[in-house]
Amino acid sequence: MNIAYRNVRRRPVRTAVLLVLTALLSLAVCGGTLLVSGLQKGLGSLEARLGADIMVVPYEARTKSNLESIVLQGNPGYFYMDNSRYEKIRGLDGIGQISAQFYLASASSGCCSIPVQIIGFDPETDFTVLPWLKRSYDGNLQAGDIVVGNDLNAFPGDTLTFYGIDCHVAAKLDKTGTYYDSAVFTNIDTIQQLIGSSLDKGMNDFAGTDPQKVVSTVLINVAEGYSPEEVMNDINIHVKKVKAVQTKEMISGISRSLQGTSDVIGVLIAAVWVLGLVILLLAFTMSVNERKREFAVLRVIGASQGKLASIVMQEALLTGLCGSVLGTGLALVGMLGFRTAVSEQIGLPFLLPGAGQTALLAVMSILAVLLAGILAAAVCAYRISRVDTALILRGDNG
Amino acid sequence: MNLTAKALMKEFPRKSGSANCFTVLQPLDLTIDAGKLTVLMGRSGSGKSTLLNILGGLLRPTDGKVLAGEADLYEMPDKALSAFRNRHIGIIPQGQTALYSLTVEENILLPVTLTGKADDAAKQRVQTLAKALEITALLGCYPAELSGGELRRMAIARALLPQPEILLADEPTSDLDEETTQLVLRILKEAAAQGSAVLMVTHDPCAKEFADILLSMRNGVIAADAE
Ligand SMILES: Nc1ncnc2c1ncn2[C@@H]1O[C@H](COP(=O)(O)OP(=O)(O)OP(=O)(O)O)[C@@H](O)[C@H]1O
Ligand SMILES: [Mg+2]
Repeated sequence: MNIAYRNVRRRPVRTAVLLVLTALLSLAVCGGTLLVSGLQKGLGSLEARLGADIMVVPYEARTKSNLESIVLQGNPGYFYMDNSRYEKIRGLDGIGQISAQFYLASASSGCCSIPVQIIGFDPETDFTVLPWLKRSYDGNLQAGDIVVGNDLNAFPGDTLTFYGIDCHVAAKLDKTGTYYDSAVFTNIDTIQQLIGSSLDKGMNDFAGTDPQKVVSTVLINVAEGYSPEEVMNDINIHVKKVKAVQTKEMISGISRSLQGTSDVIGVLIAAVWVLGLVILLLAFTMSVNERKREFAVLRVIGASQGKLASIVMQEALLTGLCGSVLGTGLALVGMLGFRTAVSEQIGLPFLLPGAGQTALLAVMSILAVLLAGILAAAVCAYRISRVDTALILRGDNG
Repeated sequence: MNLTAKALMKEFPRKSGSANCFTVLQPLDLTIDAGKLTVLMGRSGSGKSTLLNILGGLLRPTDGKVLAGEADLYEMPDKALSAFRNRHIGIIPQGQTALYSLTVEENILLPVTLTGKADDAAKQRVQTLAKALEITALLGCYPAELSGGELRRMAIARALLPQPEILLADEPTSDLDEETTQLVLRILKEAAAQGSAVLMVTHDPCAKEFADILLSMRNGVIAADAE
C-alpha cells in the first residue's frame, strides 16, 4: 500500500485540478517552444534557400508583379528580361557566383495538370537549387525531367503535363518549409521549351518573347572582398532596366517580424512558466495544508521528515507525470497536426524540428514540469516538518 | 522501559498579564514506570496534553530532558527519533487522527506499513485488537463512514499495534459510552500488565479504579492525587 498513491486516488477532484494545471503548463511550454523553433527553422531554411547575396529582376517586376509575393510567398508568377543583361552583369567587378533562373506559372486548366510555379535553373552555374536537389536526387536532369516540391501530390515516375508537354517527375525535394515545397523545378532546356509552348498557345502575357533570349532573375553571390551592397549599387548604376536587391533585405522584414513574434512568444512562455510554477506551488501548498493534520498524524506514528517529504513528492510526481505527459502529447499532436494551418495563419515558413529533437524537447518539458512539482512539494514538505508536530495537531499552526 | 522527565519546563510565547511568556509547565520531574498504568487528571487547560506531547517527543520543551530508557529524546536527530517513536512509543493524541484515504484496517496497520510491508503476524494482530475494541466489522470501511467513538477506537488500535513499550493516551475515552470506556481501560491496563509504561490523561472518574498511580495536575504543577 502506497500512501501517496492512495491520496491521489481517493481525492479525484483535487487530483483532476492538479492534472489539468500541469497539463496546461507543459502544453504552453512545449507548444510554445515548438512554435518558436519552427518559425526560426523556417526562416533559416528561407535564407539558405535564397542562398544568394543579390537577386536581379527586370525593373518592371519590382512594381508590376509583387516580387515578394512570388519569391517569398510562392504565388505563381513570371517576368522576363533580355539575357544580354545577364552577360553584362557577369562582366562587372565583384561577381563571385552567378546564375540565371527562369520563371513560368502553369495554367489552372486544360493543358496543365496543376497550377504551380515552375522554376528553371542552369545546371552549369546554379548554386541555389542544386544543393537542395542533391539531397534527394543524384542523377542528371534530362530534357523533359522535372523535380517536384514536397507538398505537391506527384511522385517520381509520374508524368505531369504543362502547356501540352509531358514532363517526367524524376525526384521529389525534401521539405523546406518555403514556397519551394509547392514549386516545380526543371533545367534550362526544358523550361525554354515550356515557355515556348505557352507562348505558342497564347497563354503567356509576354507575347513576342524569344524563350532562348530571356531570363527571369539573376542570382549572385559576391566575390571575396566585395560587399553585397557595393555590388548591388554597381549593378543598379551600370545595368539598365534591372533592379538589384539584397536578398537579406528582402527577408529582413520577415526576419524582423519573426523575431518580434518569437520574442513575444518567448516572453509569454516565460510568463506562463512562472505563473504555472506559482500556481502549482499554491495548489500543492493548499492540498497539503488541507491535510496538515493527516501529515502530523504520520509524524506521530513515526514518519521522519524525509518520509513526509517523499510522500508529498510522490504525490507531486504522480500527478505531474500524468499531467505533463498529457500536455506535451497535446502540444505535439497539435503542432504536427496543424503545422500547415499554423504556417498559413502566420504567413511565414514554418518547419518543425526533426523527430529526435522534438522527442528531446518533449522529454525536457516533461522534466521541467516534474521539477516544478518536486520543487513545490519540497517547499510543502519543509513547511510541515518545520513546526513541532504537537502544534500542528492542535490546529492552525504552520 | 521507564519514561523519565527531568526538570521539564515549557513556556509558550503568549501574553499573560504583564509577561510575554506563559509558563504551561512549571519545572517538574516525573517517571512513568514500566508495567504500571499511570493516570493523570486535572482541570482543562492545566497542561496535561502539553506534558503528554513533550513526553512523546512531539513538542520540544523549553528546558529539561525526556529519557526513554537510556535514550534522550530531544538529543536525537529527527530520523532516529522518528524511528524510535515508531518502534517504542505508541501515542493516542487528543482529537481525530484518521488518514481519510486509507481504510480502517490500513490506518491501524500504519505503524508497520510506514517502514515496510505488513506481514501475517501484523494482520493477525489487527484482527485481535479490532475484536477486543469491537470494530472488526468496520475494518474495510473508510474513516469518513465511522462515528467519533469508532474513530477513537481505531486510533487506540493503531497505537497498540506495535506493542509499544511506552503508551501515551490523551483522553482516549472522551467520546465513548460507559461500557466501551470500561473496555478501553481494561485494554490499557492489560498493556501495562504486559510490561509497558502507560500514561493516560483523562477526566473520566472511572479511570481511578484502574490506575496503579494516580496523579493530578494543576496550573502546570503535578501532585500525587490526594483525594
Ligand atoms: N501553542 C500554544 N500557544 C500558546 N498557549 C498554548 C499552546 N498550547 C497550549 N497552550 C496553553 O497551555 C495551556 C495548557 O494546554 P493543554 O492543552 O496542555 O491543556 P490540557 O490540560 O490538555 O487541557 P484539556 O483538558 O482541555 O485538554 C492552556 O492554557 C493553553 O491555552
Ligand atoms: Mg488536553
